Amino acid sequence: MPTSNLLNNTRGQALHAYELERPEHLRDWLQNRYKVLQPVHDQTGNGSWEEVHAGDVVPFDPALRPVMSPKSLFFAEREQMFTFDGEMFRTTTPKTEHQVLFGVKACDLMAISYQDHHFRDDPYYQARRKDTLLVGIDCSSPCENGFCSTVDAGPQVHQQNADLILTPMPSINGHSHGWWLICTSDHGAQAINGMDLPPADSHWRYWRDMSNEHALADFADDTYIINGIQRINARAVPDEVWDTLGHQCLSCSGCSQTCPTCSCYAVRDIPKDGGFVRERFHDSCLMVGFQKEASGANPTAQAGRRVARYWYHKFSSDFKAANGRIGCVGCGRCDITCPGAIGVHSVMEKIAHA
Amino acid sequence: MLEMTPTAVRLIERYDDGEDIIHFTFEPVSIEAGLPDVADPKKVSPGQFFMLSVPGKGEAAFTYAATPDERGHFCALIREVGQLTESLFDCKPGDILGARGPFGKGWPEFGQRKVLVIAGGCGLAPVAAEIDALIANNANPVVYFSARSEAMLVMKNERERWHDAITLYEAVDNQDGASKTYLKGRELMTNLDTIMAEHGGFDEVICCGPEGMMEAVCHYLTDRGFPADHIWLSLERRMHCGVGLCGHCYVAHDLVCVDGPTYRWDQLGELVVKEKFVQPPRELASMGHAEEVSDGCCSSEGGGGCGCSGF
Repeated sequence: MPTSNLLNNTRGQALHAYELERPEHLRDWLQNRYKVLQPVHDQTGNGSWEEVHAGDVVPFDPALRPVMSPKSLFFAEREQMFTFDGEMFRTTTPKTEHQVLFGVKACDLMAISYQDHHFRDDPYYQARRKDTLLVGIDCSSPCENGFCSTVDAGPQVHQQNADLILTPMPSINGHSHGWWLICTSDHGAQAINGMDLPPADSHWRYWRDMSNEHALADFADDTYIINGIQRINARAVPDEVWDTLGHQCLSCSGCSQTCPTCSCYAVRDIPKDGGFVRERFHDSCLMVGFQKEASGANPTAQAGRRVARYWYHKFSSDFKAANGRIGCVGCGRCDITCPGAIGVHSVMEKIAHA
Repeated sequence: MLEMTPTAVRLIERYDDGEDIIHFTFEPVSIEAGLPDVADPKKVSPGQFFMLSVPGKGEAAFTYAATPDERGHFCALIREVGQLTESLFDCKPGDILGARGPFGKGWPEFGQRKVLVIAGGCGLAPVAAEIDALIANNANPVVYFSARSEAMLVMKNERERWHDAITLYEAVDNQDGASKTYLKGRELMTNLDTIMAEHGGFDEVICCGPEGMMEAVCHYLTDRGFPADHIWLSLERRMHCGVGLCGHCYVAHDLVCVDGPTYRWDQLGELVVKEKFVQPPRELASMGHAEEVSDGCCSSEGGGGCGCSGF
């Protein structure tokens, strides 16, 4: 494997692509060296990211995207930060092993890239992230509620966001012709070194772009989302509109939990053996106590202000300078989850016409 | 990588310094490997803060009321307002706590510029170390300090020292039973007029206190032509992590723990506007269209602002 060239590959030059009959072949190969996690159909019907062991007969469903993104595999839902024994503080380093996330969609990969930047100096996040190989998969059609194309996150995987990318060969007359495997990083090249895959037909790039065009043509009208983003940027949404949306918010934090880019957390100390351990856990800016100070002062006591904050953080260009892009990756999970009907589609529709 | 685990510090001194307010001094438990950052005078500047862990009770942000000395001793002025401070007030000298920092942006370097310091109540703590630094620089700052009552005039020892070195104005809202005559705290504008008349020509103003007071001071100054980019404030928000990760202390796209807590007034003003609904000037929005499209301009509901009835 000409690994010296591969550094250039991440900058978009001379990508190596191979033919692959079935995604499972790659997965089984990777299981020899890594712990492999993939989306699995489970009893909840929501799907989940689960470890698939060597020898398990688990099909890989390219269309399955679990309701929970892989966010918590790096930014744990709940984790220990350190212990105190009464005299000394000791950092708890997360136990990690080399792992592969197999079959991550473009939206979730963009979110991981966004989180990589936010948590770039977080020792807990980075301990898990640095040992992880990302295998992305291109989407061939829009998913329910998804609008990744509107926010420049998909449906095609951005090559800098994954180590390896699976892309389906075009289906002509309904016959499926297998997959291409695109290698986009050194880490990816090392992982497939020895697989002896046949190189891809030189037209793969054309066909991949054509599939992308097909997928893009299938997306629903997104005018209200673009309009909503413009109104947020213009600060043209009246307070009363946010207040009305605030009344519909149950503060359940479902949107924050499912949002792959939400990164807020809180901490709590738990007494243990004459000392204590500090844990951190996911938090949400939609909770009434999120900004409440000990004195009782609360800059965002009104639900409308908190809802405004949430969507400002997801869509405002004000964050581009620091984060490189807007906060939303268009996965649409908040809309699936929200019991108060103020997920992204309902909110953007309302503020676009406010 | 960020260090999110505290360093063990020992409470070495505490004394009452106002109603429900205690002045604490801490030192690092171990300095074998050198002073930890949180207690290193070379790392800490006035206006920055640290996170103090009270074992088992949690962690909260406190400003350095005194930055560390060469032994690593540093101070905090703390009011009892919640569960964490309640536990802290039960701590005795010798008790072990946790501290990490320093965090945030301190006050800018003022060198020998002429500085007016305006503080209200516990807002004296974030400016106290800066007053000491200015005195050490022979910058001869003027200080105005106001509180609810004489009992709330915090930092007695520091003020005693300052009285000998600089001009310090003290004001209280409620003069009942006061041991001496203070300026009238409720007459902030008159007091500032007096200070301006007696000292005038300040290069910079730094201010910390309740947000209403800081806003009043900023408006007082800018109304009189004082440049907004020479006014500095310190903002209080709920700082949870101190390192810009947890999200709690946001103001618009800023996180006060890393982008603040000190702010220049014009920059803070821009941030505050970003959290508000803005209406464009009405006349501009509808200008010109009525003349250009005279027929059928009001076919849609609401019309185009041309004022005709649509018929």
